[in-house]
Amino acid sequence: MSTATMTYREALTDAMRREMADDPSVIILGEDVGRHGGARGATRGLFAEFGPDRVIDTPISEMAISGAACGAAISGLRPVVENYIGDIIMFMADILVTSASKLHFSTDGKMNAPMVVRGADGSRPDGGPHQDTLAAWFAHVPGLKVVMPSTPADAKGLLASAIRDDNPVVVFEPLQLYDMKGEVPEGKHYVPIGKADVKVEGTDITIVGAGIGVHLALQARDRWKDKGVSVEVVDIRSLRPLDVPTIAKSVAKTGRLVVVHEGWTAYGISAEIIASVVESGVTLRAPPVRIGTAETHLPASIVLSRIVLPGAVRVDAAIAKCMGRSDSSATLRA
Amino acid sequence: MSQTNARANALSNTDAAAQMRLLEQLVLLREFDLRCEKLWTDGEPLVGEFHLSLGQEAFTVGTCAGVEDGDLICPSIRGMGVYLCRGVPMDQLFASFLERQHSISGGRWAHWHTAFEQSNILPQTGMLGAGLVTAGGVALAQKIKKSGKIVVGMLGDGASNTGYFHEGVNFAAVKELPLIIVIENNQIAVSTSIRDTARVDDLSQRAAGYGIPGETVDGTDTLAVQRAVAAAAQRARSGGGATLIELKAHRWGGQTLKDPNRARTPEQLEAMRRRCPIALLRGDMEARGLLKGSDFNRIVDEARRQILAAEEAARSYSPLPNAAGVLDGLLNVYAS
Repeated sequence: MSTATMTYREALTDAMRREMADDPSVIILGEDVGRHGGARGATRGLFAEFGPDRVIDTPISEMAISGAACGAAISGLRPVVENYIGDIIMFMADILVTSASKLHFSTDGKMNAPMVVRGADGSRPDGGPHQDTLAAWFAHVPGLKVVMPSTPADAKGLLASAIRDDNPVVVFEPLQLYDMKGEVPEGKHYVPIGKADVKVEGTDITIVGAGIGVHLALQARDRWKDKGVSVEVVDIRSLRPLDVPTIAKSVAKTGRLVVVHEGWTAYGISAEIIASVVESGVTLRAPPVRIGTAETHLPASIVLSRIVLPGAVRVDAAIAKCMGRSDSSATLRA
Repeated sequence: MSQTNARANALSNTDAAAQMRLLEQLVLLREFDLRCEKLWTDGEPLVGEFHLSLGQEAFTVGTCAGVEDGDLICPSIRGMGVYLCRGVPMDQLFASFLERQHSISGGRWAHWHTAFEQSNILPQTGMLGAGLVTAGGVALAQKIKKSGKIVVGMLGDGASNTGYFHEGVNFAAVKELPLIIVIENNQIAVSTSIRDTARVDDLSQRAAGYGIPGETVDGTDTLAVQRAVAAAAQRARSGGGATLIELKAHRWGGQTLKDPNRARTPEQLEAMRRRCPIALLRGDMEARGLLKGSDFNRIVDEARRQILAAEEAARSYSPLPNAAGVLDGLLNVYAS
């Protein structure tokens, strides 16, 4: 398959453009998604190509936007909503959680809401407002699907799959990744929702990552290679449905598990992954470790926010602990 | 109020059979609610909440009559009348109350929030005001698809104070959606008077702030309601965008059957009962020679017969199963 080099942002645009070109029922709704091209530039060019009836600028009204998407979705359209940034999605939470997620259940399959909410998530990281990740909140809800692409190729493939999915899907796009360049398959490209990706194979320890956590894991793998530790990295890609078999298979091989993600660990992504792996019957050779945002709020200071967010120091400490190595002075504490 | 001169016109423009149909629907709603109330007071274990519309039946009867059957309606929390006017089989409603097979949502969702596709009734939740924004999305889809259909979003006076209302009305206004926003102003939200939660005399005044037409209508006058909704429907269908209609009446009972209804004094309730939508239309029709006393009794008898037959049918259905395998169906929360 031929590929093109493009940014994460351009990969998202490519997915939307191709789906819109193929299917007139796909529309985009959001604040500044039209001529402005979206809060992160992900809808650039789509207004010019598809016009104001399909790329719809809205008032700053998240409840109305998400509600309009839900209503349009039950009426045969496939709306893609842009969430302006991070925590703003809380204004859409009622429609997603109380309306859209329940439709298939409550109508016994007669209705469903094939809508997508996508947008920036997580930290830059430079502190300040809007930089929490609330992905785990939505992954808690039956009836919703939740994905977090970590590469340009997955951004294209997962968003395209989300648009084609007959259920409400939330796509969390880590804010730090929009400028990331990568090889992206040309033409139609779909990444199945609910399939994890083994990024690199290893034999000693599995690091499962989501979003930024995948990149932290890949960097750790390079650092530990020379120290004789073989790290396997798994990108969950989908928070819900979670691909437990792929993760469990990896952990069964390595016997050690670290999970890295933005967002709090309590009742969070890593808690769910570790519980699922343990429930699947895999025997661990060392206690698993969760690495997420420290159990406090993100400070405005860049220096302080780097301390609170997951980073290389804590990943190294986790690997050292799982491997029984004393050669790391790193601390597990945030 | 715009209804004062309207009734005579409306009467002359509405044929006798159509008015008879409206009266039959008003009576059906009244008798249905009274039957639910009777079962409740008799101690029948009914599932769910019963937001009766005694005294405000014209809200839904007039609204349903003002639009086409193919148009879509998102009822309010007190919207069982929409289900009855649009022919949702009453045995399926009773089956919901009694946890039987053939319940309108298979026991999965509250009967008063359940979508009923065959009748173009939209789904809603208990999150007041949310139905308005999803109705806006349905209206957006009709506009994009050029379906020629319009949408009615109904909500109570209480829900008109939510953030959803502001966002939903403004969105409908700026996007010129084929949407009729109907505020069912029964002037009390659970126990709190609208006088204590809004500074405007007529909630339709709010329309001006959104740049759309607004109108307040006597919500006990079925024909006036029908006329106002029909005018808004014509505007919406011809590309004229959204309209806000406030219907004013009083609910005679409590918030639900569980509410002892002590928010108003007996004297106040007595005064409210003197303004009865059924008596009003019946009086009009009798004055015009469209109805005789015996006709009315026949209508009441027929409504009661239908209701009791539906209830009896529902009681003959099997209870919802509590057996192995049922959970598998309930876990089916995703469309494939």
